[in-house]
Amino acid sequence: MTEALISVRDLSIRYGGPTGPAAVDGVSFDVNPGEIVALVGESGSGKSSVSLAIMSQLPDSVHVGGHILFEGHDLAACGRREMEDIRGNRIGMIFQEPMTCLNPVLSIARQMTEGLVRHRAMSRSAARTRALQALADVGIPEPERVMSSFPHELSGGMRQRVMIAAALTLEPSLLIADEPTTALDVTVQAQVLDLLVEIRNRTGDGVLLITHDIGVVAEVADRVVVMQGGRVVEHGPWEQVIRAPREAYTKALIGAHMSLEEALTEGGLHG
Amino acid sequence: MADQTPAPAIEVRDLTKSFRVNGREVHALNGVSISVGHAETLGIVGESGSGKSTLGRIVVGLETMSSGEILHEGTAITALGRTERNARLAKCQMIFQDPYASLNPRMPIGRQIHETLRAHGSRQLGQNLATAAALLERVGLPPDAAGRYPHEFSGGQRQRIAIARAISTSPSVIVADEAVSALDVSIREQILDLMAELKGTTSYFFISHDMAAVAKFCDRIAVMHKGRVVETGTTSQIIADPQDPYTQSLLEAVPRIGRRR
Repeated sequence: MTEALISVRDLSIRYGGPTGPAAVDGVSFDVNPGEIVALVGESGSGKSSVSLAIMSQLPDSVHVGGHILFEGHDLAACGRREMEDIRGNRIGMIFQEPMTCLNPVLSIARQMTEGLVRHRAMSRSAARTRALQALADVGIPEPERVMSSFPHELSGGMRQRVMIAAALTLEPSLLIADEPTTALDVTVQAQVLDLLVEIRNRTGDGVLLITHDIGVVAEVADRVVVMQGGRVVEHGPWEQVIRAPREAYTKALIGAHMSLEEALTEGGLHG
Repeated sequence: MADQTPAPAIEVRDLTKSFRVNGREVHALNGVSISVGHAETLGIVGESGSGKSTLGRIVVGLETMSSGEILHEGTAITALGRTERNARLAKCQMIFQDPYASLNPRMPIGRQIHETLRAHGSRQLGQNLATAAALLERVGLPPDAAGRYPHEFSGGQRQRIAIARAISTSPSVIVADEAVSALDVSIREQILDLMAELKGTTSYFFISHDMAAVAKFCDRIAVMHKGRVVETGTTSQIIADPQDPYTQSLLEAVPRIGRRR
């Protein structure tokens, strides 16, 4: 049995301090190498709080209980420098809105190479070569042109690819993708999902995919963690959770999606 | 259909809209012609930048056209004097994607519906508040809703408020621009059901990038791509037998439960 990349054990998150109400309560799951684990839930389910806790991005006033182990090391015991080394370097992060994490006044080249120079002590030219390769790997047709562009000059789908490429340049072992396709058009979403699956197949990375879309989960996840009201209500291999859900909440999520999907297969209700 | 009027509720003819961006001319709409009949729901699907929102905003008068014609029940809106044109546009309402941005945060929602009714000539506060309470009940909100502020409601409830306000003036046309896109899927269904239930004699432009929501709610669909309508048809035609390659790719890309990538 291989060691889990990340193990979340009995995680609780209280925004009002230790005695406040729990936004996340008793959440446990693992992400193994080469595995796409989907954390799925509706707004307010606590799924994004879990991803912020993994990246140690919650403010100090927030009380975090339980353990998060990255490759066996308890992240709570890591110092600031150690955490900085893990974050972005060994855990790559992809967000919903690339514009909020790409710097609007720096060229793509500068942003793509920054991490390599900082975390890997690479020379600018070696970093540039690696960045060009990463852009080509995510299917960007003219990497040279994109490198000299600024974020606002690229389309939404292109920006999302650039962010994924930037995360990949450091060859992280775990990718956390928080609603990576929610802001994208549906045809671009399909391309980004294919890309995530392709990266997993090629690199053997683990992927934690946080999404509200059970349709996306059904298409790409190996394992599914369903959250509601801060708790895990169901957890298992995708075949089991999607095809034979046990919990009423999972059934309701799938049912709501299916009823919309049926409108597509039956040619609409007003046909 | 018992409808005697041959003219559609709204007809758009050869509509164009250009913006100047950094000195360059951008054509948001490139000769769009579509119509929506009385009590008909027309879905307008397309991706960001396809021009679907610009079209909706021009229909309700929030944006001007560069060229073309809009006919309300057979009468060209540009041929009308200001008073009559405003009267026509007053019969058009809009529901936006984010109700929080379109509701006044500092006014109880009953008052906001009163404001809408007042702008349409009904000046009795007491009577308007009673109307507001009845409307809020119709959209499934609790009896005390009228006295509460927008932040006291969830996203789904706020969209119900926006619907109550939109139907308060008995409009002939409602443009719903991504009205359910920001909602969780279970809430999305409830709101679509509510809109279908309250449809009445109103005609709808239902603008969305969500093929499934459009298929569920609409009688006909127009597919937009790069400022043009590439395909129109009944919902069952478009879903079952899409002709344009772009429509096919849109349908193909919708995530489905029974498929793996």
